Amino acid sequence: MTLLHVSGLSVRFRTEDNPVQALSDVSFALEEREILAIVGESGCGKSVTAMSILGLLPSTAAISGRIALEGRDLLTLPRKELRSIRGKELSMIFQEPMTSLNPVFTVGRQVGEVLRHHEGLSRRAARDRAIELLDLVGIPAPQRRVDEYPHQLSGGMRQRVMIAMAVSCDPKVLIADEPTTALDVTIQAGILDLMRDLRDKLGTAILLITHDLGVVADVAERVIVMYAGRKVEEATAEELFEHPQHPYTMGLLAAVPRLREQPNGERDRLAEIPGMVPSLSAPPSHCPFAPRCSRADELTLSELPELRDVRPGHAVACFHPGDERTYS
Amino acid sequence: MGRYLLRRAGASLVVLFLAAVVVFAGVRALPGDPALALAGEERDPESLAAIRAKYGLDEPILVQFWNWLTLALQGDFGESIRTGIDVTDILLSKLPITIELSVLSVLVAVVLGIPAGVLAAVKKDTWIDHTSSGIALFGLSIPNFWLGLMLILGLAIYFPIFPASGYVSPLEDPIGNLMRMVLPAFVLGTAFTAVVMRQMRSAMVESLTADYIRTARSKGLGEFTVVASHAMRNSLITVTTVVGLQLGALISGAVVTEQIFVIPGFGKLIVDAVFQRDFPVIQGAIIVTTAGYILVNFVVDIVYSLLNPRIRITGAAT
Repeated sequence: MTLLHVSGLSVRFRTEDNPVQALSDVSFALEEREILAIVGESGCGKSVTAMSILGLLPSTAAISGRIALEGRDLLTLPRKELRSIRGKELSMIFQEPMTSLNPVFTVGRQVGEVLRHHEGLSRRAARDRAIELLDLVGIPAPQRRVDEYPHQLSGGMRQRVMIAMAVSCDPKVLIADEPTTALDVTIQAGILDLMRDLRDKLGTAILLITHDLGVVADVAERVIVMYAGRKVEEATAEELFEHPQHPYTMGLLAAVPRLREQPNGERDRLAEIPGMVPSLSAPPSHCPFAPRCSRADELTLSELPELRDVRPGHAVACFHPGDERTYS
Repeated sequence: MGRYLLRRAGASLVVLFLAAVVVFAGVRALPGDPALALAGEERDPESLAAIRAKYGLDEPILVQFWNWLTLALQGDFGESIRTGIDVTDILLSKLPITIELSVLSVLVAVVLGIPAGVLAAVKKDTWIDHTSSGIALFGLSIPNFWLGLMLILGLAIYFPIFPASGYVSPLEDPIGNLMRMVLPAFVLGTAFTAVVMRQMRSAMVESLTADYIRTARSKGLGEFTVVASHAMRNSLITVTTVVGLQLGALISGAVVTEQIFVIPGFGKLIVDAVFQRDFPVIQGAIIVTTAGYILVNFVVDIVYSLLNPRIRITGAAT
């Protein structure tokens, strides 16, 4: 069953100079118990998508489209109702565990606050539940940790606290915006395992936002690739890694570092996608990837490709899709 | 925490001792001989020598300092050269007045400045922000003596709501005391309010853009909780320092304001004593002021560490 249904989402920011079109007509669905990843480079609109689902965009943002959580359109919901959903049915963890916790409150209070606010627990009960939650997210000695302040915890521990906070009210959807980017590689795997575990135990659907295809390969079941504020490809993780169709996706895959030797014994150089991400203040009317694409022709430079299915469950917005190697 | 406080207390004692040295030396560096001032018309060498001997002014300066310090440590600051009254008694009679005035003006500043600063930050770049910042700048620019005189003219003479000047003890007449303190406290608090407001505004603007505020919102907390609990608690850390420094400065007496409202506090005491070369009074008053300043800073440090857990644990600011 579809939990979260985003359709035709567009976000435009008013700025001093030119308006910035951060998102253009993005649609996707998150199913129950699913881990869906959104990948792309910085500035492709991943985080804006997450923030607009939670209604946390600044007031300079003009949002259109529909974001439905079990049929309720979050964009038209009164503020008060949206607040009663935030943190309870829909919660989020952020990229920067070092700064996302309030430095002047104990972690127990910050986890307990959600429970007291949404479930009306007493201070005592909230604390007890906070200890259970810290234990659930794998924090050792939760009885002691509950009274500690964020600066006494490592980055990985803080991110676990954020996760404890996010899952405290047993949310239906958890949005994780680059949850492992700021962490050491050795800590990353632990956090990803934890998220998968929580999905299995609590049944929370996860929308995972990342630029790291390693993370995607590790936990995601379905993947959406975004470029310049648009969705350019969507497929199951397996399908996407086996048969990428969009040249941009292929470029991303080729840009993952790996140790490989050429026949002459030299190490492979890391592939990069030539060119720059287009400016979002003047989005082109043609395929936004065309200037960087080796398959570009007159058609790609004059029209915008629509998303279409190339295989069942695999959609791509490209005039010349195909998985033959363009980058290597 | 305990060790931190102990270390701070030790440092305070060192500061107090250094202050005593500076004050003692400074007073003696003042031009003018108290013996001459006291002798009046009889300036024959015998009477001058007698006066010097009576107040120990003929001893070597180190001996004078030692005598004064040992007595001062026992709470005995000697007698006023002018009036012969015990300096400790003089100080004890003035101290409550100055403390009351200081505390009231800090209260004015905190009660007006903090909400105004928070409001300006929440409504940043709107007319509310611009208006309150404008008023703050105005409050900062008005000279105390002028504001004091205008308030006396307006609220004591044309519309006689408050008494124009004077002081009564709160023990005798609590309401009369408060009525007489309103205008001076407001005058003293005006510039201070402006400082607190500006500090609170900038601290809040910074707090409100912090990641943990985004986290608080994502938890579904109401805007009031986000601002009043999550953002304000962090901003108060900065403002506490400012309030403490200002309160310390007020303890040394508000010379101009006390003159205008004829309040017999520390400011007036020190100025009079300096003019009369009344060494024991000057020394006593300044040492007590310094001790007050140090005490306030000590209290600020404690409050600060309560507000900021990072200091509480490590014992040093991070």
